[in-house]
Formats: sequence, C-alpha cells, structure tokens
Amino acid sequence: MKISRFQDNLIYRIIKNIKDYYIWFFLVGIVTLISLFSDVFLQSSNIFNILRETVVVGIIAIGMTYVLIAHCFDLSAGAIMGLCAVISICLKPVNTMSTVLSVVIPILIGTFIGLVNGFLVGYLRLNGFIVTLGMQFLILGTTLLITGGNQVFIYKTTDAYFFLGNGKLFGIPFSIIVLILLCIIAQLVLSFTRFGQYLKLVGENEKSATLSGIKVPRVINQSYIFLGICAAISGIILASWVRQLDPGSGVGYEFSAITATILGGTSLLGGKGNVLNSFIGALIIVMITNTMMLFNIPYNYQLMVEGLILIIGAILGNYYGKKNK
Amino acid sequence: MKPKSLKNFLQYKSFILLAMLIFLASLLDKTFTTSANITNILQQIASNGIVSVGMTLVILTGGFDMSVGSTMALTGIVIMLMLKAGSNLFLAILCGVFVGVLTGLANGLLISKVKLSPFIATLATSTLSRGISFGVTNHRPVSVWNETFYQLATGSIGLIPISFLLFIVLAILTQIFISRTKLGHNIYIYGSNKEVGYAAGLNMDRTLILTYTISGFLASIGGLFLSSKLGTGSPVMAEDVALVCTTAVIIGGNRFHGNISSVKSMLRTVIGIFILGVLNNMLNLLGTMSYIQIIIRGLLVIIVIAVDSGVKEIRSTLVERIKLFFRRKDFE
Amino acid sequence: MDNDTLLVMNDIEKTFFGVKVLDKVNFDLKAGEIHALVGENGAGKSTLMKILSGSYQSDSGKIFIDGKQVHFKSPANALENGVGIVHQELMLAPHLNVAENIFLGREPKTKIGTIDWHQIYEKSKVLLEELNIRIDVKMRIEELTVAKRQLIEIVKILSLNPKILILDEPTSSLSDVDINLLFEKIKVLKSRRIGIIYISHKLNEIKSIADRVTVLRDGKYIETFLKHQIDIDQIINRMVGRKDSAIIKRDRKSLPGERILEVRNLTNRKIRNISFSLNKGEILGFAGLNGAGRSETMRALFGIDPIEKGTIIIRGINCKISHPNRAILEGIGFAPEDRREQALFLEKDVLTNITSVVLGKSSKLVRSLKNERNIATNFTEKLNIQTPSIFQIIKRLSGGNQQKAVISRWLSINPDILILDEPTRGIDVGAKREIYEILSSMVEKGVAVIFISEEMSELLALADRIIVMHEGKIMGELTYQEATQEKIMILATGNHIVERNENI
Repeated sequence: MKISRFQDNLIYRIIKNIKDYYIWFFLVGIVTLISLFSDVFLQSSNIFNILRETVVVGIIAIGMTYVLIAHCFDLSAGAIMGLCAVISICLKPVNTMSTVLSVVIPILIGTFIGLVNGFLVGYLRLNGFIVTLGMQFLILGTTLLITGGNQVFIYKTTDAYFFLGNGKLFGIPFSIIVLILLCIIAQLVLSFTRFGQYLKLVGENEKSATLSGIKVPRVINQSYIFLGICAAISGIILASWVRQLDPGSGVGYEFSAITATILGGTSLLGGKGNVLNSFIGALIIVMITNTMMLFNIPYNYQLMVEGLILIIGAILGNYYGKKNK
Repeated sequence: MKPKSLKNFLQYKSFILLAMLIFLASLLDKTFTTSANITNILQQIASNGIVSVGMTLVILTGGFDMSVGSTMALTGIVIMLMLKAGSNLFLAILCGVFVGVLTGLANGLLISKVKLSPFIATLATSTLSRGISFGVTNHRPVSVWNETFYQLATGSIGLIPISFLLFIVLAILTQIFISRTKLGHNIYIYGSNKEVGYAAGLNMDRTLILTYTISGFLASIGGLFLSSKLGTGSPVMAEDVALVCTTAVIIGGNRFHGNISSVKSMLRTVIGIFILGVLNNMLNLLGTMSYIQIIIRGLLVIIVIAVDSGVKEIRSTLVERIKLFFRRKDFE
Repeated sequence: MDNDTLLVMNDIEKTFFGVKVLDKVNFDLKAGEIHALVGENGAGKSTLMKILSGSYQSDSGKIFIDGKQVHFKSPANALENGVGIVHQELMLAPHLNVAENIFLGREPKTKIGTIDWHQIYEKSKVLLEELNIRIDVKMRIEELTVAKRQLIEIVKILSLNPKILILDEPTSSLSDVDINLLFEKIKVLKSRRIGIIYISHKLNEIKSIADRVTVLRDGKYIETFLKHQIDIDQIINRMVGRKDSAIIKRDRKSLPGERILEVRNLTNRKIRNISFSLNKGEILGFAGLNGAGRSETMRALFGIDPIEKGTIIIRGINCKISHPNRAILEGIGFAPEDRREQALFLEKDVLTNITSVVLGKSSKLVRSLKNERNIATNFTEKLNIQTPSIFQIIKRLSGGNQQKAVISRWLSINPDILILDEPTRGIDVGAKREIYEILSSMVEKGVAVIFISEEMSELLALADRIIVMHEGKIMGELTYQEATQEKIMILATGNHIVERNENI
C-alpha cells in the first residue's frame, strides 16, 4: 500500500490534532461570555490583574506538566513553593548581597528537593504519589519550623527584589513576562528537543523507553528537578509580590496546578501534554474566580465553581484525548 | 505450623514499628503508660481512624478519596445547624450522615460512569463540598450545646472511649465485609484486575460506587465525632484529613496496587492509625512542637515505602537463590 | 453420526464498518472432537469464535447446539449454554489465589450469606485433581508460571461444565514440555465428550492433535482437512492462496565473516557460564524450552539485567554493558519478546516508534524533525509497512507491521549485531515471509543476527548455527548441516546427544 502523502501533510495533521487544543476554544468562549456581561473585564488593568494572579499557579503548572507527562506525580510542589517563598523573605533582601541570596538560595533549595524527589521516584522506583505525599509533610513541617508558626514579612526591600514581583518591563508586569517566557521555553523544549521527546516516551512506556536506550531514571529525575525550580521561582515571585506570608504557605497550590494541567488536556496516564495548554488552563481558572469577585459572588460559590470546572475540564480532556479501543 | 504463622505475622510488619514506638515512648516519658494518657490516645485517634477504615477500601481499589475532609466538615456543620434549628439529635445526625453518603455516591458515579480519575473526581467534590460549607455558615463556625452529642465524644466505657470503640467495631465489621461477603470481596477483585471482574459478569461499577459511598459514610461518622469533640461545626475543619488518613493506611502496609485478599487490610490500617497516634502523643508529651510531628509523619511514609521496596528486593533475590539451589538438585 | 454433532454454524455473516469479515462461513463440531481452526490474521477465525462465545452477534446465519438453535447475547449467556472460551490473554486476577480465581464471581454462599471459603478450597482441589494438576490452590496467580496460569484458566472454564471449549492460541507462551502436558489434559477432555475448537498458528501442533482442520481465508470458508489428510504445505497453501510454503529455506550464499562478538562465562541469577561467539553476516539461532534462559542471556547482553560474572568482547575489545544505552553505543540492537509491552509505544505514531533510538545518536539537543520524517518514510517504504501515514498511531497496525517498525528502529542506527527474540510470534504468514527476507538482506550486508525462536522449523531454515539452552546453561551447539529437530529437542530437555554409528 502506497503511503498517502496527503495524510503526512502538515496541514492535514494540524486539523486532525486541533482537538488537542480545545482549551483555547474554551478560553475564547469564556472571554466572550464574560465580556458580554462586564465592561470592566477586557480593560488592560483587569487583564494584567488576572495574568498576575495566574503567575504563581501558572509557573508551578508548567513544571507540573513535565512531571505528569513523565507519568509521575508531585504532591509536594505547593509546599516547595511555600518553603522557598518563606526562605526568600527570611533572608531579608535589604541589600545587594542578601537580594542575590534571596533569589539564589530558594532556587537551589527547589532544585535540591526536586533532586530528592527525582531520586526516590526515578532511581529507587518508589511510588510518586506516596513519596511526594510524605515530602509534602516534611517540607511543610520545615516551613512551619522556620516561621515558628508566625507570619513572616518584610517591609522594605531593595528595588531589585521589589521589581521581581511588582516591576514592569515595557508596561507589562515583570512576573507575567517571566511566566510567559518560561512557558514558551518549556513548550519549545518539549516539542523540539530530544529531552522533550524522551519525556513523552518515558511517560508512555517506561520499558520500551529503556530498551530504546533512554536513561529513564535520569529523565524522571530531571522532570522533578524542573518542577522544583519552577516552584522555587514561583515562590520568589510570590514573596516579592506580597512580602507577607502565612506560616504554612503553599498548601493547596499543587492541587490548583494539577487542576490547571488536567484542564489543559495533559493526561494523568502520561505520554502527552502541552505546557501552553496548561497555562491556558491556569488562566481560565483565575479568570473565572476573578470574574466572580468582580461580580461580588461570595467565596463559597467560587469554590463550587472551581470544583465544577475541574469536573468539566477532566471530562473534556477525556473526550478529546480519548484513547480509542 | 511455625513457618506459616511467621509468614502470616510478617503481613503485618508495621506492628513491629508500632511496638518499637510504644517501647520508645514509654522509656522517654513515664506518663505515657498512664491510663489517662492511654485514654487520651484512643480518644485522639478515633475520628481519623473511622475515616481511615473507609479510606482503606478506596485504596484497595487503587484510588483515593480527597473529599473525606470536606465531608467531615460539612457533616459537622449540618448537624450543628439542625440542632440550632431545634431538631432532635437523631434527625440531625441522620441528615449529617446523608451528606457523606451523597458525596460518596457522587464520587463513585464520577469515577465509574463519567470515567474521571479518582484524584480529579474527589478533588472536585471536595472543593464543591467546601464551597457549600462556607456558603451555609457564612464563613463562621456554628456551635450548639447538646448534652447527648457532647457525651458521644467524651463518653467512655471504663478506660475506653465510645468513639474508639466504634472505630474498632467499624473496622471489624468492614473487615468481615471484605473477607466474607461477595460484595466486599469484589473490592479485591477490582483492585487486582477489574477486567477479570467484568468478564466474569460482575458489576464492577457498582463495586466502585459502593466503595466510595462507604468511604463517604464513614467520613461522615468521623466528622460527627470530630465536631462533637470540638463542640463546633466549622468550614475550615479537617483540611488535611485525607492526606493524614492515606498516610495511616499506607504506613500500616496497604498499597494502591497489589493487595492480597488473605491479608486483613483493616488490621493493617488500625496499626497504621495507632502508629500515627502514638507518635503524636509521644511528641506532645515531650513538648516538641507540632511541626516536628508533621515532619516525622512525612519521613515515616517515605521510610516505610523505601524499606518495603528494599525488603522486597532482598526477599526476591533470596527466593531466587533458593530456587536455583533446589533446581540444581532435582530436575522436574 | 448425527448424535455426535454438537455444534453447527450455518452461513455466518458479519460486517464491521463496511468490511465483510465473515462471508457465509460454515463450521461444525462433533462431541469429543478436536477441531482446529486456522487462517492468517484477519481471516475471521477470532470473529467467528467471538460470535460463538457471545461477545459478538452475527449479522445473519444460524447457530445450533445439540440440534437447538441458539442466539447468545453475551459471554455469560454463552457460558450458561455450555460454550466456554479460553482467550489468549488470560483473564485472571494476579493477586488472588487459584481457588479465588476459579470461583471468581460465583462464590458459593453459606447459610448465613457469607462466602463459603471452605467449599471454594475443597471444590478447587477436586477440580485440579480430576485433571491431575499439581498446584496448591492457595497459591496466588502471580506466583505461578505462565503455563500453570493457563491451566488454571482452563480449569476455571471447565468448572462451568461447558459442552464446547474454545482454545485461542493456547500454546503461544508455552514450552514444548508444557505443551505436551496441556495436550494430555485436552485428551482427557476429549474423553469426556467435550468438543474442542483449537485456534492456532502452529501447524505442527495441530497436525499432532487435531481430528479435523478448517481453513478460513479473507472471511470465507475454504476447506476442511480430516486427520489423515493433514498436510502442512497444503494447509498453508489454502491459508495463503499461494503455492509456496511459509518458510523459505535460506540461501546461504555468503560465508560468515570475522568474529564480532564473544561472550565468555556470562553468569547472573538466571544463567550460568554462557559462552558463545558470533560472526559478521551470520544468523545464530537460540533454541530451548520456555525458561531455558535465552531471553535472559540477551537481556544481560543488552544491559537490561545485571551481570555477576563473565566478559563481553565486541570487536576484540572488552565491554562493560550496564545499560541498554551502552549496548546501543556498541552497535547492538534488541527486539524483545513482548512487543506490545516492551518495544512499542502504542499510543504514539509510527514515526515516533521508528525514531526512538536514532534520536539518541545525534549529538544535537534539538531534534531534526525533517531528518526523522525522512528516516521513518524511508523505512516504511523499504520494509513495506502497511500504514496510511507515518503519523498513524501504531496500535492500529497489525502485529506484522508493528514488528517491522521495531526492526526499522534498529536498522536506522546501522547495528553490527541485532538480537531478535521471537520476532515472528503472532504474525501472519505473509508478514513472516517479509521479515525473513529482511533478515536475509541484512546478513548479506554483514549484520550479525541472534535469533531466538521456539519454532524449531524456523531456526532450522534460517540459522547458520543453533545454540540450545536448558535451565540457564548452554547444552550444545549445532551447525545448520547437522541440526535436526530431534537433536535440538534432546539438548533442550537437558540431555546429551549420543553419537551413534549409522548404517547407511
């Protein structure tokens, strides 16, 4: 049978795979819907507000996408973020030296924790869910220990540090730029580098990946490290933005990150996923909660809607990513 | 006779950890072994214990129930609200428990019919449930004094609190359910290979729905005792219960996959609950901060599964070596 | 004669998505008969049996059992009426024990409504004893070998007292010794007047056990052979519709070249003191029973399993291979036995599957998608992989085409040594032939091939030398001139070949 060139064609393939990008249509739909009811929504200040709020969960979602694609799980991401945020503030960035430390040390910590997770799951082959469950407690406890159960805050920081969470570059908040840049780079790596392909192969079938010469433990390890770094970056930006943190910060963010990633179409079974879609997923969640605040809808309804979104998003993900029998 | 009972005993290795902890605790602090303290421990572990019984079933099917915490909270709130409205205790409890059953049903349906993963489904119902909790209470806890209800939490028969008694009774009943009834045994079939269940004509969907419904029901009961103990129904109650109970079930020796039906899974969970309870108590007596307890809890989980997998490795190597040795001796 | 007839299937038709998979097929079965059903993949045998066992419903046609017309709506329905099927993929719960599996879903109850475990264990013991199967009913399925699991599956179906038993590829994972044991049990069933329908690709086995053989081709009934009429070449002819036989006797034109691989005293948990050599341009066959250690040897060689002792010398240089990555660097490729679970990325496309190894060969971190496309297209054409596009999800392809993709994967890195473990298992005759041709052209170009197979006829036709293993050791080595099925079998069962003086 001759191979039909038509079906190899890029345009044909894009059209066929368009359903993987359903979340973008979802986004357009929601934006249209909301803007019908609200004049304020599409104003640039509001859009920046939404984007800024997306940053913290969004960056974690980027890292989470990698881990989920590798068919692993990370319940500790939120705790890592919390720890890094707290440490960032506790290092008191009031002069140049400490500002540098306030950025570098948390990233190192995030990397280290990612390394430990990656080691336990990738090399020792322990169950990712259970390991990161334990890690979450470990890290949370450590954070509480450091904060001593009190809020941590800092009034005045260096301009450089302040800039991280609050500054603007070409009129766009810096944190948003970081988010978008990270997003684009992560997706490029995923689609066009060897590592990205390895990630997908490992998530799809570990044994086949090993027999193709891929060092599976290393790939898994690297995905956890990436998530650790993302969580750290997210923590630093959060710390710089709010400059005041609760003692047990970070709890719950991993759930939001996973929700965003699932909404975006990443499969919990591994092997496929898209960072841009995860970002859109995070965006949609924030958009909806933000809008509800705009309309003064009480917090409890926000929660309920979040739950509903998750269900709908998962159903859509199942439907469009359906693995045909 | 001897090797068999040894092999049986080894199915409950976590007991060794518990024994060590108890030993350590009694060494470190004299008050550990006082009757007052023991009653205290039993009191503390009861509500989470009840929830963990349900969680065990869910984990046996390879899933987990993130919604137990919010179910506990909502149940407490419903009971308090009804008491406040003047209803009798029995009706209030009935309504509270209904919440759990409903949530469990919803979870079961979402997972089996809508084909969502347990994580997503239970996370979603958890969020929904919390939202409702905040909504009906207007973000404020609800407290009503009711003598009988209070007795539930603090009452005891001799040294043993009623709540703990109920925990053990429920654990035993559930164990009988999964060992001796077809419906319960189907849970092991589901966890081992649900396709086989389908092929044999069993309704695996119904099994799953039943599992989550029981989990929801037991979470409700747990919430009942929790709010009775705290004297309040609050929307921010029981935030981390799901994770703590999962930890207990896992530390006790159950796993998401590969559970053997001849092992008493509930016994494992009970041991796990005791381990966490004794640990908590010991650290409290020593005056350590509660954060240390959280850290140790995390460490325990990781160590338990690491050791388990390490032991499996060593054990399989040993078994291989022994098999090879005997094969050389006699062929066929 | 009529009293013997257990089953009659008349004019069965079935169409799937516009494709007629069964076209007025007739089939019948007598009590106590073993009736084999053969045909290439896609011939319709599975579909026919799925209709009989209740998984599918026919579009038209009638089925009669014991003279009465039946119409099964579900597998459970079929079981109630005496039709049981043992599928190729065993339907057992691995963590439950034998007794639990046998009675899965129909556990007997005590008077108070609880499960009567005592009865379950007692009845299971009896069922096993009736067939002379020595397995402890309390053992968990995961603790049993594949052969034993299959026996349990059969006992499970038998406990429902079927009149008709369908066995779908029962011996595909069994060693020759296990197969003989299985045949013993089948003969016992025969004596109980149970009608057995036996689906298999293994024509040699069918010849030894079947009373009748029916051939299907392209959904149509072709011919039925009676026991004394069974001739393998003729059967293949009817299956394929062509005159030539399945196995091409290899044209061994070129002599093997220089030594490329030498293995000395390779030892680990499963194998002991494995030593052999391999030359360029040669096909080295590995024969043996299931569990003999052939796959284990290759896994050690390829760096999947650890090595306790021994050396691997490639191109004269001592190599330490601790991971497949290293083996690939040394120019070794490995296509494992379990294609679906260990070689393929089922949800990924053909291109991804073909390029999964060559990806690691380039030093650049960025992929060259154009390059990958070319490689995939190239091999798809060269090996005649039947697919509408290189972006087709590979699980939609047939077994033969999937295997060709796996072979392409290795060809794309120009290996010096290619190890194939049961490469033609579960593949239809046409694709088998293509794979043999691919191998021939490979060795002509100087590639050294290690070929593990359970089909002795395959090895005898292809290999230059055959190494026979037993219980983790090498029992002997035969050249293609001196090798016979009998000699291979002797070595494979752990005995030695006694040199006899032949009177010509």
